Amino acid sequence: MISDILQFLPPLIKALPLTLMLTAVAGTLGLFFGIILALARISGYRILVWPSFTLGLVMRGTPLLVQLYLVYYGLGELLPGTWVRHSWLWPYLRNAIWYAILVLTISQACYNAEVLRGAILAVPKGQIEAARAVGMSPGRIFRRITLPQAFHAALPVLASDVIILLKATSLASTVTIMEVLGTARALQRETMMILEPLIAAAIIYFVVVLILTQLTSLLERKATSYRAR
Amino acid sequence: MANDIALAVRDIRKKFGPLEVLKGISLEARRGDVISLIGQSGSGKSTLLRCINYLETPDSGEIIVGDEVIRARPVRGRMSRADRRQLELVRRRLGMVFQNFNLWAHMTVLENIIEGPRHLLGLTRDQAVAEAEQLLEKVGIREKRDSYPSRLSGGQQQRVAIARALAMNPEVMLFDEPTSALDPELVQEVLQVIKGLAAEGRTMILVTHEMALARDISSEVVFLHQGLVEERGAPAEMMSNPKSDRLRQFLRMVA
Amino acid sequence: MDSKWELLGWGDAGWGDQLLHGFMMTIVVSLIAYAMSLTIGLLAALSKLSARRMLRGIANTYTTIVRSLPELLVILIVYFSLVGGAEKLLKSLGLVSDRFEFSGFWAAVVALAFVNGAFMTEVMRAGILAVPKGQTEAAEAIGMPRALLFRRIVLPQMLRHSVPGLGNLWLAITKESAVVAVLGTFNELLFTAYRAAGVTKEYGLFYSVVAAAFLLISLVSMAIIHRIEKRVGRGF
Ligand SMILES: Nc1ncnc2c1ncn2[C@@H]1O[C@H](COP(=O)(O)OP(=O)(O)O)[C@@H](O)[C@H]1O
Ligand SMILES: [Mg+2]
Repeated sequence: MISDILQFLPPLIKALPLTLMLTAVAGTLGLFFGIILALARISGYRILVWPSFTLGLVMRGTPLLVQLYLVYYGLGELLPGTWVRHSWLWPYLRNAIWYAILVLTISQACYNAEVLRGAILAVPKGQIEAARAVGMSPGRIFRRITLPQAFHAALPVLASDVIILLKATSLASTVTIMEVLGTARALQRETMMILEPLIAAAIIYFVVVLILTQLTSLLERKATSYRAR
Repeated sequence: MANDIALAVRDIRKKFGPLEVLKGISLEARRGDVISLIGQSGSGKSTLLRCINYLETPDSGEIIVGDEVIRARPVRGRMSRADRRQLELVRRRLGMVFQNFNLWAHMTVLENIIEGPRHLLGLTRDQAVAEAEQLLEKVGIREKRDSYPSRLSGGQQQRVAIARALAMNPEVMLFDEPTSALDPELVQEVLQVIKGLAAEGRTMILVTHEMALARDISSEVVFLHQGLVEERGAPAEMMSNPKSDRLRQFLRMVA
Repeated sequence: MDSKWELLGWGDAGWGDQLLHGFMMTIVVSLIAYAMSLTIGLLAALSKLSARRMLRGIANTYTTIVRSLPELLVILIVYFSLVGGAEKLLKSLGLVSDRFEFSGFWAAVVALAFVNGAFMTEVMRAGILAVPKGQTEAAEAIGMPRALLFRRIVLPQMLRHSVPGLGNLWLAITKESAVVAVLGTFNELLFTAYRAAGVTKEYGLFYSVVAAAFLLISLVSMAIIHRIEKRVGRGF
């Protein structure tokens, strides 16, 4: 049993870069768009608030897997009938990975936006008033006072959301993407061994999450070192 | 003569890690006695009181309540079923009043008081409520019976806590600085209740910084210093004529 | 356009009745799995706080491992262990007949509960720890036995502290229930839509309907949770 499990580790480790790439890309883009969505939410302009609010509600109120199916199969059904079919983009767009990245990014952005919005609103009013009192412009106050503090406050949750994202990338296996879990399921079919490939995959996810957890707690300690203990 | 003793504490020792907090302390309270424990902060008064009802487990020594010697000795952090049962029964005979009241936040005043009688003494709800109302009358907050603790002042909460302890009909009452967490203007209302209990002849062990109270109601005052009894005796004698320098210093400080 | 709507109709031509059935199944699976995860979470939380090292070790291992693995992976592992190992074990013990098979339904429920039990454990543990120590001491001091103390003093206050966490986990479990579609073992909402889309090639239509149905569950749940939060916020 144990040697059976071990034999599956090398092929799964080969699939790990894809898992990490999905996490890194969707994590980075998700943070970027998350900040934008958070700003839209608190902007006070109805034309910005409404779409960002609705998008957040839909993305956080429906299962990621459903979103993935909807985009992958739904767009896959839609796009061939449009100009895209004949453009130079088409060969790329047939690859499921773009759909996975699209869905993971938007989902991550919506979760990040929610956290950041809360953190921005939680920055003490007194500090903003103090900044206004020394004559800082609103834009400068936001960049120099509000955002850094909100970011620090949000960091633990943002970090744990990255770990959730890493785990969520495994759903991409359901749309033919050969990341770690997708590879494990292919090995299941190839070797007719049912549990061993899955357990090998579990070992890999466990180790990666363990390392990520250590890294984030290190990061948090650095980021919060200015606070009194 | 022996069954005249309500509570005896024999050579109690207690360490927290390397810190020896109680270094062998003995007390004896006969029925109707009021023993006041005084001493500086950190001298071990609370720990001694908590050892008496085993909220802290002493390292050695004996606690005797009436005719019952508590034999609870956890083995690797766990107690035998029989020991735990004995401890529960003994604790019902000891009423405890905490510095921070510790009322159950999700229960009204009345519910706090009838909880023990109903579930531990087997009273019906009606019986328990009838007794609770008498107790509320006695501590003077009858009108608050349906309030939640968060709506009460500290003094009111502490009076409810006293009523809650009395509801179990304990043989001995233990008080741990019952007025220390109170705003100054609320101290008197609680002291009045405690004085009333002393006048009724309740057996009490009282940790306090209220020297006037200790002088008025105690049969014995025990001065603790660094986990040992530094001096003990009748209140008037001890306070007007302290023998040790430490007690003299302490009295000057609290005066 | 008309034909598309017909696909959602009742009877042989449309998938409406199957989808509605799937919708109900999703809710039922979520409810049962949620109830089971409450039980698992409570037991594991008590184990984590117990004086017995064995119990603490088991509970810690369970939550650490399950929480660091993808839900889909845990669900697959639990599912295959159940239909493989557990089935054989029950048969060899003679507890069930030789023809016994875990239904796809129950395998999915157990898998979901197993995953969420780990997250539930943390919610409950935090809830128990949020009950002030003085209040449990006051109960010990009047000689309350531990079981009564837990029921009368800890549980009511802990539930109040846990309401937001419990609400979040309900929302999570309803969404996660979609993942069991991957098992393809019984007709919950997403798997029903998967089959419907496969037959009709109307992917966009069916997955949109499913998304809307899940959104409905989430919105209604959020409204109910909000009311519960307001209710328990009153009083003490
Ligand atoms: N649970 C505990 N763990 C470690 N040290 C403790 C604990 N409880 C009390 N102590 C220490 O024991 C000493 C005596 O404390 P305590 O009995 O509370 O004193 P007092 O009530 O006289 O102020 C103090 O130094 C205190 O810090
Ligand atoms: Mg003290």
